[in-house]
Amino acid sequence: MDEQGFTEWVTGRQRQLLRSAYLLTGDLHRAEDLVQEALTKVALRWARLADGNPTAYALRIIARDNISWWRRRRDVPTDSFRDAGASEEPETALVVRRALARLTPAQRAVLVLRHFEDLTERETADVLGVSIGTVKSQNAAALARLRTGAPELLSLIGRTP
Amino acid sequence: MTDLHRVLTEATEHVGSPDLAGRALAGAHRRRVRRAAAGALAAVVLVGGGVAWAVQDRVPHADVVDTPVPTPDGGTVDPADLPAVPAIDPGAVQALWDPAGAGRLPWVDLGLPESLQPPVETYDPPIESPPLVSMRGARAVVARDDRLYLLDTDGTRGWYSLEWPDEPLAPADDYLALSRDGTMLSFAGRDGLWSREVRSSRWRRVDYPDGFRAGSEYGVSIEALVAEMAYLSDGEDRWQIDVQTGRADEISVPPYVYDVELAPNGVVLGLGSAGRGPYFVRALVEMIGSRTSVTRADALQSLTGLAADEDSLVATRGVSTPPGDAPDDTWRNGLVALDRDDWSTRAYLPIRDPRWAYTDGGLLTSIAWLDADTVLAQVVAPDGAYDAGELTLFTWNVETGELRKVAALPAGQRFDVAIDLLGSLGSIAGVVQ
Repeated sequence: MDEQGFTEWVTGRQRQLLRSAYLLTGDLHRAEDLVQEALTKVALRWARLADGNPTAYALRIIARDNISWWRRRRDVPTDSFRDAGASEEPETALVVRRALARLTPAQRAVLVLRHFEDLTERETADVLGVSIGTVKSQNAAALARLRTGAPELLSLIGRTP
Repeated sequence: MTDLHRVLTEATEHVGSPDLAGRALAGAHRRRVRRAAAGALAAVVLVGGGVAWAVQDRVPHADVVDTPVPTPDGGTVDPADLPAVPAIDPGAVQALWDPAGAGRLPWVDLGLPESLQPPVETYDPPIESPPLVSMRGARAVVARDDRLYLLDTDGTRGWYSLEWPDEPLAPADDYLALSRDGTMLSFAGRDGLWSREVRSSRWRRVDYPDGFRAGSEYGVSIEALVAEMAYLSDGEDRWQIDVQTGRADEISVPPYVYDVELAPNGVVLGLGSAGRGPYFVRALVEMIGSRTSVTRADALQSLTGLAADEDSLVATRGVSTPPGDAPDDTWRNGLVALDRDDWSTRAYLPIRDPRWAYTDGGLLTSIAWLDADTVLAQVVAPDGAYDAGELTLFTWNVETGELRKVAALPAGQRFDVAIDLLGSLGSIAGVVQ
């Protein structure tokens, strides 16, 4: 295996992947777990992925594992979970995390891929393994839900940086 | 949506960059070894041993920075000079409630059936049928498939249906509204606002006002329908539109106000945030005619979903302390009822919200005050279910802490109820067990 090539790719992408995973989960520790698992799977397939698009593959693993985690979690008593939302995080991060918590995991995945990773609708559809129509509808639903339910986020968006 | 990209980027700037490559390589090697030699876990070879796991530096949470708050006249005021909402009074905190059990609350008859579901198999006749045009109003409206279903007001609790106008809906969550007295119905179409008297046989349509962003990515919502006046939001601005004439007036609020509630006495209440950088000041804003008063509300932390009457305000409150670290129940998420005279806490209903989904996820919201002490609210449970759960309408008596189920329906189904037609708890208290 080309460990040097893999390491260089990870070095260049890991922070962005971690940031995306954080937006998907709202939890740094779980984001790290998701990214770690995705990178391990990329490493196992590096020979085939190196000349392709390992980033898209990693994003797919992260997004799907996160959705699977949510589905599993429904069946577990809520007492066993404690939101690891960092009370130390900056206010903007807190507002965004709270806003994204209003979305379903699938809506959040579309929103992060489209508006943070800047993927096209087709690229987003490919990563998530869904149709472009699903990406469009999930994106619209996510934005509508943020509009009605996350006014503090809108306030941040409308603010001059 | 470059602005959204900018905010998402800003929100993740504190995320560090630990060395994940070495650990991934080690993990990959472990799995290869497992595959090659099942049961020989003791022989796992760690390639890249001594992996450095850089503990990322989290940005410490600073105190809220005081930054000037803009005033409606274009000036600024130092937040330190603003009156402040007092912190939650521990004496006003009620028993901890788990919203997951909302569906099992005792039912109270406020004029709605316990299951707010029109019949599936035997639809009642369309309201346009001649014998039914005398129907004066509706207690509730539910949107399902391609029809609207209205619960009558004549005491028989029958359901009647009618067709939508032939126009696509606006991209919105709250596109449907029933007036407080149950006589008017409105929905936000793609190109205009449709409305009808419930007993009428036709829909009317008025154009959205100039400047109204009907195609806004954040969608259109009907925030209230009072008599023949609809209050619409296009995601950024709010408008008051006469559904008969189409006359529209923009509701002017300070630019930093993001959440607006129109109290029955015409007072506009809002939640605002101001400041630059990652920190800002939260504020409660009250507008009575041309007078605006601003009260700093940081002590309450995050508030959303206001509902007001002449004397009180209720909102969903979210705190930034993880539930496991809450030193007491004032540090839990919940519903807070405030006295509008001095913003003191009338009551606080702390909830079990381990995933913050009920509050931050928007699953628990207030709707209106039914009387001086009773709040109508809704919750979708279980948390995390979103559109797959059950929505329960319930009452919260802020004086006694008593919670009652009013009605329930599948989450995700659009509906509205005629607030003024819901019976007063006080008037039927004798039959509540």
